[in-house]
Amino acid sequence: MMAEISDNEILDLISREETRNYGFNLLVQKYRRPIYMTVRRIVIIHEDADDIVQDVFIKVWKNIGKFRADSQIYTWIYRIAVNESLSFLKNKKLQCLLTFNSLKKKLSESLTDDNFFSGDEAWKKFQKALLILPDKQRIVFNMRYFEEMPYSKISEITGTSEGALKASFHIAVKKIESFLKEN
Amino acid sequence: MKEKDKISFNKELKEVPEVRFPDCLKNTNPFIVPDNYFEGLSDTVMKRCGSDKKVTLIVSLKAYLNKHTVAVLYLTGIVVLAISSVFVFKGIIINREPTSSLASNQIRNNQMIPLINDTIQKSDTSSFYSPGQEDQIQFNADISTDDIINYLDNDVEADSFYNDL
Repeated sequence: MMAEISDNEILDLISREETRNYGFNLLVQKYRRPIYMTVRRIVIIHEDADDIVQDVFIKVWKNIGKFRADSQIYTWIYRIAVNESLSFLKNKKLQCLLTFNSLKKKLSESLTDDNFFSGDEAWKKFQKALLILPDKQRIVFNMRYFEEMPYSKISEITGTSEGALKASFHIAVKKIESFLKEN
Repeated sequence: MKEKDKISFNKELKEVPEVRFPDCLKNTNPFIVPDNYFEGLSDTVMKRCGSDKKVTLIVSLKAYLNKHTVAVLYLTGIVVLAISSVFVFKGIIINREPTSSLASNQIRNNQMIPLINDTIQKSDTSSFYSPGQEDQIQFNADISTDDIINYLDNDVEADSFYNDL
């Protein structure tokens, strides 16, 4: 039902003071699930994803006045979500004084410990393979493989050229294949 | 990356199929979401946004101030630079004036040589014309500089001047 309401209609509601809260509520309901899944794939743990998603939508609320119509609002929210997730991972490393490998190992172990991960062994192995990738490369892989996003859109979100994205994705695929073969 | 490697890499990019992983990995979601999580999420976000209403305004005002403060600072800097450069140039001009007036006085003194008293050291004529030697020139106390200048301005012949004395 939410999908029937267009972004332009939602923005129109938000632009008016009397309907701003209602319009923003519609926006959250429309994009909460895809944004949550995007963030969850990056940070793995549900509690962390929950915190980040809340921060994302609060940031959207605070900066909705600065949103320019030159891009779609979903692209804009998505970009905020990706940046927040990357900042979160960076801060987590700094806070725990963990090295790159240690954090990835921790996330990899959480796949087994997390009560909210139902994947079978194949899935766990695949997710562990994804965790060997650098954060940005992993995000690009997620967007391209799981969300089947076109390179043009990924380029808009990440600010990277399409050629670089294709190369990054190709390298990511090779790394994952190599990991799965070895394990 | 070497040129040969670049070419082969780009070729590989075009030839390799998009992804070779099983579709089941793409179509299933291993991440479990707690029951009623998304409904609760909307309420939580709206409550936090409502409580941050005042914060929103403060942030906006702060952003506004910062944006304009920078502009004001730039303008102030430019104005200060302009004023200081005016003073610097003025200082240069002021410093030059005595030198130029000194030079003109020197020329006048040289023109008044014939009317100067016997106390002038005629043996060393070069001293009249060299800069810094004006202290050797001594004027007759009875005749003031203005008198001499007035005499020159009126274009009176030297003989009549001496006749008046």
